[in-house]
Formats: sequence, C-alpha cells, structure tokens
Amino acid sequence: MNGSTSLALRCCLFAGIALLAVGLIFSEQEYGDDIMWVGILILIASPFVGVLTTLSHLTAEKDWKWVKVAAVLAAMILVFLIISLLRN
Amino acid sequence: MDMEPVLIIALITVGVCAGTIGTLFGVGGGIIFIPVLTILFDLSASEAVAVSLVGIVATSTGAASFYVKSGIANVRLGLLLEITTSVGAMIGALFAAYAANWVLLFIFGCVLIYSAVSMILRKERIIENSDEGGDMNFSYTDSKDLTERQYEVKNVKSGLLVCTAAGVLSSLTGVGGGTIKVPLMNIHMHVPIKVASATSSYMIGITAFSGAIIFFIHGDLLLDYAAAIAVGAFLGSVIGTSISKKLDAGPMRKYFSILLLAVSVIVFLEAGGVL
Repeated sequence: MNGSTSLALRCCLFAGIALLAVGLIFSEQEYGDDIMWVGILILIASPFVGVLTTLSHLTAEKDWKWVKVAAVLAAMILVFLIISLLRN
Repeated sequence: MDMEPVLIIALITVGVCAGTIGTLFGVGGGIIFIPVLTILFDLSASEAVAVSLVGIVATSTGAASFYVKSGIANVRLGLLLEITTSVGAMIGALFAAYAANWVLLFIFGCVLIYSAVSMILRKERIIENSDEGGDMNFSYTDSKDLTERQYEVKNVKSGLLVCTAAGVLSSLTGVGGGTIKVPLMNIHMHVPIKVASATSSYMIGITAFSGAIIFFIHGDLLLDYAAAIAVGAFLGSVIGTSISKKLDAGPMRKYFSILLLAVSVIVFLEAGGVL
C-alpha cells in the first residue's frame, strides 16, 4: 500500500511541478498561463489521488476495516466539495 | 501573465524556507506563507490564503511521498484522524461568522504554549506493541540508525475527539492543524515524534486539497504566484526530508517546541490585531 500510494503522489507531484516550472519560464508567453493552470490542477489533485490509490489498494487487500475508513474520508471530501461549490 | 524574475526568485525562496520547516515538523507552512505574502508581497488576505494552500499541498505531497514510501508516515492512522479533523473543520466553517476571532486566537495560542511546554517537560513515552496483530499496532524503520521500532497507538477514541476540536479551532482561526495534530499524536496517543510529524504531513495535504480546489475552480488563484511558491515548497520538501533522516527524536521534539512557541507569538500578535 505504501509503495503504490507514494508512487501515485510522486507521479502527480513531479508532473505538476515540472509543468509549473515550464509555465514560469514561459510566463511572458500567452500559453505560459495555460501550462501553469494544468500544472496547478495536477498538483492540487495529488493528495486526493493518493487517498483513492490507498482505497483501491486496501480494497484489493480486502482489509475491510480500513477500506471503510478510506471510503468514508473520500466520500466526505467529495460531499464537502459539492456543498462548497453549490454554496458559492 | 508577466512576472519579474526577481519576484519569482523571492517567491521560490519563501517556498523553500516554508517547505523545509513544514516538512521537518509536519506543519503545512501556512503560518509562514500567509504573513509573508500579505506583508512583504502585498497580497490581499484571500489571495494569500489561496496561494498558501497550493504551497501547503506542494510541501505536504513532497514530504508525504517520501515518508509514506519509507513507512514513517502512518497512512491508516492519518486517514482515521483526517475524518474527524474534517468534521471539525466543517463545524468550524458553519460557526465562523458567530465567533469572536481574537478570543479563539487567544485560546489557540494558549493550546500551543501548553503543547510546547508538555513536549519540553515530558519525556517521549512510546508503548511497544502489546498484542500481535492488534489493529493499532504499527512499526517503522528509523532512517537514522535503520532500526525497526514498534509502537501501539493509544487513546484512539479521545484522540479522535481532540482532533475534531482541533479541526473546529483550526477552521475558526485559520491557523493550520499540524501544530495541534503533532503534539496530540505524540503526547496523547503515544505516537513517536517522527511518525507523528510524517503522518501530519500526509494529512495536511488532504485538508489543503479541499480548500485549494475551491479557490482554483472559482478562478481566485494567482497562477504565477502559486506556481513560484509551489516550486519553492517542493524544493523545501526535498531539503526537509534529507535533514529529517539525520535528526534524532529528542532534538526534534525540542525544535518542535521552539516552533510551537514561535507560532504562539504570531497567533497572540494576530489576536491583538498587530498582524
């Protein structure tokens, strides 16, 4: 579980940071902002991708007690997001 | 958006400093990002919070990817505590409009001082696994001397309750939860300080994600500021993890206590309206 969660975090992190660095280098160009936009989206999403990866790994391991914990957290984050988006 | 190279370098430097401290002690770095961005870079409070959240995600994810792989961060405990912290944060958000901010900041400052003094005065008490295969029995390998250390997480139910209260207080005051979660795990739940700060790093990213994504979707994020801070915070997380490998638990608790006292000063200044 630790290996796959860490890999998911690293993939998102490195991709996001690389795009942000490229975006900063080309910040004077119009497309610089677009590159940064994608980079930030990937970076911000990485902790949630980590939770989903952990959840899928725990499910594969049939570790039901901790599957419930991870599923409740993932569901809570999604509900919080939806409520926040609807309120604004 | 056109940005001066000097400004980019200055923001990256801020990110490196906050990222290093955040990674070492399992705090997000918001307590550094927000005052620096508002005072030195003249951002509005909401702009600074949005940029800070992206910096916190970069710090936390950089640290967590290392700590999770090496097994120092306890992912299961992090997920469990994050549930009640999030519930607390949601309750706090509902009552934010009705609370006197300076009173809450004052309480928060007192909690930080209490935690700092407890960490200085009380010796770290780790309870080794009492029964094989128990749900809350864990182990990790200390990267300093490569020995496997076992520990049992105690007081789980009351720890979850305190985490809810921490979430409420954190959400009402805007001060991050790492400064409460790490002492809580270490003092109350008997989690080793290295595991507590690594687990806190993992949790903080999840908390910051919910806030950052809202700012991002609403387009309230200064992309170039956030990009520079995130790049710096990532570099800081790399520096922080390499320092943490060489640190012993004893000095780490002492440094963390000093950090808590420094943060409490900032919180009291905020409570008094100075910051």
